[in-house]
Amino acid sequence: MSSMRESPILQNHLPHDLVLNILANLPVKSVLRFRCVRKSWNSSITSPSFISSHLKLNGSLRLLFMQPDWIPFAPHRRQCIVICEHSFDRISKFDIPLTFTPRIVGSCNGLLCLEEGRDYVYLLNPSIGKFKRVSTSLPIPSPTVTEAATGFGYDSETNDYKIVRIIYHLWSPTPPPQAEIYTLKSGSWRRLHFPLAPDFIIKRMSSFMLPIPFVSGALHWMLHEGKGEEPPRRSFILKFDVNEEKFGMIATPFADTNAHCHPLAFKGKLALTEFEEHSLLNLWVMKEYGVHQSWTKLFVVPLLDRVHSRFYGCSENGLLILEKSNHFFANGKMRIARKCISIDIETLHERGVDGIGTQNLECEVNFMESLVLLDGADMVPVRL
Amino acid sequence: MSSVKKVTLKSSDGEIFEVEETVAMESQTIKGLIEDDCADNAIPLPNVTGHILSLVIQYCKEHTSSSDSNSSKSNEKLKAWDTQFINVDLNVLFDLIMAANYLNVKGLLDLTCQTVADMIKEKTPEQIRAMFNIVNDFTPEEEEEVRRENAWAFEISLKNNNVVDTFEVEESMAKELQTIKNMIEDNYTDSVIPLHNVTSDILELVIEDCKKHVEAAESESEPSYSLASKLIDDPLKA
Repeated sequence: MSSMRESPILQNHLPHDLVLNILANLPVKSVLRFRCVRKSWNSSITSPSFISSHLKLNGSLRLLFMQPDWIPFAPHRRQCIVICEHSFDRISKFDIPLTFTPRIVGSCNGLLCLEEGRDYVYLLNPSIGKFKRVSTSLPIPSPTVTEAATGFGYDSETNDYKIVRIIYHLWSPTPPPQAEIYTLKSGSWRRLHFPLAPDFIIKRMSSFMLPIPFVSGALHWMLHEGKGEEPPRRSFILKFDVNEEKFGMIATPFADTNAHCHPLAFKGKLALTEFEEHSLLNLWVMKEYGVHQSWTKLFVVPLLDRVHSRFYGCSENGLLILEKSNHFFANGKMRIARKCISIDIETLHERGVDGIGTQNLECEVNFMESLVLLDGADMVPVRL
Repeated sequence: MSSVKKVTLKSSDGEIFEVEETVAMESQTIKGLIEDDCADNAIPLPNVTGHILSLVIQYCKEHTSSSDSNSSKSNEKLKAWDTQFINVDLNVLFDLIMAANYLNVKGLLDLTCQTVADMIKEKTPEQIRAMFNIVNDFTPEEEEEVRRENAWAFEISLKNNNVVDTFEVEESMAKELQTIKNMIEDNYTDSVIPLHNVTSDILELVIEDCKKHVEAAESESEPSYSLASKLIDDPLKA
């Protein structure tokens, strides 16, 4: 650290665009602090072009974990812990003031999209402390037998963020499923054409706690068709192209889809997990997006039944995040010690993720720090 | 080899440099001039002094030979060379930024901007103004508003000896500890203050203690120091 007493005074003034080149290399916290250096810096920092160029330079990969934060005599909040994907060093920790079973729908360019119950969706950029509540517009006819599947992605053509929601009636083809889309720039919801055959019954869409992957410009849900307690008649990946705003279908590489197929993003490609008999995790990768023959079983990870007790997700670079249960005897009783671990899918190297308790760990997503929405209207500043 | 094509560059202060054409073409600006056939005589570069131009040429030489297929220069070696190269004082660094921009040498521009960013990332706005020779054109009320919007970005970080936990504390609290107060007032360092002799647990207790004193000071006139903070202050002064 250099002492300020020797800080040199510049002979020449650096032109403004070169100053911005320097600022674009800074971490978010420093950029926010330098807003008050002078007015021209403040207006440049909050401009969309600077936010984009900063995003390009600063997208270091992080992992974000969310779990309930038990505060006595207060509604339960959620606590999020952000760690560096590479070193597992803790980057930040913050609370989300949502109480009614929130889940993280997606994470894109530093923005988190959260769903609380069925009525509210939230956008949050924790790095700049800005938060926006979006109420959904489709009326839920009978809340007990409908489900909502939500996805969050980025439209690269219009530089806009979009939330897609599909409301479907469980186990009955009527009323038919409905879809709607919210774009941040318009600030409103719009109906979408949802192209499923009239007798199609959605049994279930996607997996409860895993975020919906946004990859190759599209959102991907696992869709199981069927009725009631019977096994699904058919399962496939429902995709939604965010730029074109069109739904499509991607067939899975294996016929026997069980309850544990999750679409994911792996190194920029669409991937699918396949759990075999609690002992193997296969990761299929669609090497060429949209080409069915390009589905390749790239990795096979041996798992131990009852030891690898929960799957939380897979990071963009191939780190499987799991819960490991260690059963042991103490004082004549069987006890279980649980911890959060990562398994590198390529090397099978296992590492403990310290500082993350798995007791009530709800989910894990890829994350990055950004200034996105620093220029946003209607964003509520929140002290996280 | 006498058949290697050379170009002549002339700096703002009249210094002449003869450079191999491939090296000079690392600068997209010069490359454009050569391709447009404007480079028969010495190319005048009125915006770059001889000293800076020689540094830019050094950079280009090193980076041209590394993209040569016969070269065995590894990425690590190149990175190490860059680190050595960029270890110059701030005024030279700024001149290099401007020269790299004018001559359009992308690698050098990225390197210099990243280096300056690393140097300034922990600084306070006041230090930035001093460094860049900037006059604050915010009124006190306007500045206060911008600060308040992102108050958390101004918190001072205290790091323990293992650099494991960073504690964000408000300035008023950190100043309860005489040592830290002196550091802050001397503008000792930026917004991260390393505390080598204190572990996280103790630091956490001390911060709790300081919190109480700041609150007490708001109701009383004289804060009373507890035994705990007195004991801790000594190792810090060591």
